[in-house]
Amino acid sequence: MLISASLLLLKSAALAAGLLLAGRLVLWIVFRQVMNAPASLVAGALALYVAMLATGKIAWALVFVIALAAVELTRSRRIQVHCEGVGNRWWEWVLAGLLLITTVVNPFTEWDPRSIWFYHAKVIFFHGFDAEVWRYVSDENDFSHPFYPELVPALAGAAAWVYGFWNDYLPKFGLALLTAPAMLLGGSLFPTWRGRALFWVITLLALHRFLWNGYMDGPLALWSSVTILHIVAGLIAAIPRERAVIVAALGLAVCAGLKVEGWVIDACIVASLIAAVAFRWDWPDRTTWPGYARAAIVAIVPYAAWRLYCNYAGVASGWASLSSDYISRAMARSTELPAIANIAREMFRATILVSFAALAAALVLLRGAGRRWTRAAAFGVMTLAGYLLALFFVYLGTPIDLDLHLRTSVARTMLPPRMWLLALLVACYLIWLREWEPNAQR
Amino acid sequence: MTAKIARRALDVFLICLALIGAGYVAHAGIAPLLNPALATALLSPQHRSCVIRDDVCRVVARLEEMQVRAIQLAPELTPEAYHRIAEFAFPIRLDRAAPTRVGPCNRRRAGESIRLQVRDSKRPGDTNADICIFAAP
Repeated sequence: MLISASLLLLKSAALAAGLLLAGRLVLWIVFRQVMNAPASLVAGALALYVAMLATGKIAWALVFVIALAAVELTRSRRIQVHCEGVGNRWWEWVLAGLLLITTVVNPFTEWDPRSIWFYHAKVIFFHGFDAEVWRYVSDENDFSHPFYPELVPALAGAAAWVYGFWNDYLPKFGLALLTAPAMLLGGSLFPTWRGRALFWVITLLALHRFLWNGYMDGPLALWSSVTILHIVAGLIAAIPRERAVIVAALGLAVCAGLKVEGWVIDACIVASLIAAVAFRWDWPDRTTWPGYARAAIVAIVPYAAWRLYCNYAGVASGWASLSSDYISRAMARSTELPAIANIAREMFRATILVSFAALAAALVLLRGAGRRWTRAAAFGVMTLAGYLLALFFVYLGTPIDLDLHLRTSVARTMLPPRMWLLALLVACYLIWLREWEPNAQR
Repeated sequence: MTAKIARRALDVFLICLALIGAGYVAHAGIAPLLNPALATALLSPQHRSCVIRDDVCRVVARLEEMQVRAIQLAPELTPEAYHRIAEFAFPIRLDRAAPTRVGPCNRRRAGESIRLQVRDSKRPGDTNADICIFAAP
């Protein structure tokens, strides 16, 4: 048993190291920047996902990742531009390790993780992205929503493939490969222990078991918050622009790879960012545009690869397509006051309203914190408002019973905006403490 | 002075919250480690442990023993039983033409033999809900 455990540990470490090295090379090729370990690991995970979709086989995708890692190991390090920022403290690594252990030793037992995410991971473990098998899943197991993005299932399936067998525990290592780096990236935004501790505290309090139970809402809330915080920090120039752009691009790619809601969040973030910049007519220097174009490619490619694969394999798009039926249902319900009141009551419970009030008060207090902060705060508030409106519309047009839909999902679907509210409050607190000084680049 | 005291108080509050958060993660991670059966479940394939409904695990174990490649799954099963059997049994596929059928025991068709009958663990008082594996003649 000890030998088996040691072998599994070794395989886990090898997989993580391979992804990390491959990710470093990918980021270097795309951005000409060297990023820290968490960002590189996530870039490697995205590269593995795209390679799995492109080749259809886990083995070929892993060969591709190993080849990238080998090139990275032999690459000359004489000319490198580092964009790593300050690293993480020892206690953050301990907490990330604890999070990893907690993720793996708790099996996936709940409904969606079993019926959707880890069922897809099991399909990938046995057959990769074989089009015939995915057509079967689409035709016979439509309860599992096979059109959902497959980033975590792909990583979990690949992890199980590396271990050599499937069970209800170890594939969750694939989930930890995304959550632990997000925590470390979020923590490394802040110069002092206060910001880091606050980030960990709000994440654990808001997401708790959703960080490891296999639902994608927790990781989605976490990654979208990390993305928003990096954009806010980039807008106030508390961190270098390049670092903010790279992590935000990775965050947007991960969000779209986690859940259907991910691309809605991405759309809200990008639209709010453009609006916040356009409002002040303060467009970035033309020399930075190629960097943004590269970031857009990183953000779009994984999701585009999955959509192309769905078309190729004949995986039906299910309720994820915005049909005329959906819109007409939403329009019909928009005049039903009880339905609107029901949705509003479920979405905006007491704690959310208190957080909104606290954010409003904080923004009023910090109204003199400078133009950069005003723009960053406007971006955060617009993203929040945009997503809440989109979510409201989703419930308004739901094809299933509204009460049932609200009762079974609203606690999870409200996790991202709940996290963003808290993340924006943390940003306000740090600005108030002057720990996040606009223009104080690290 | 007051601002300094307020800041210190907030720091102490934050440290307490951080310790509670760390304790919560540690508890969620360490509590399963105290279970002596965890090591076996963690290091062996899926069928050696059962973290879901016991009835589903028994049905799937029997199907694996029978070495079937496909089954018919009756839509009359509860949604949970249907989902759990479909995902737990994979790579055994669902096929409407398969000779082996899984469904409620009271839906036995003429000529079918019962290969396994298990009590529905979520509805122990309802024998109509018992799950059976039927084989075509």
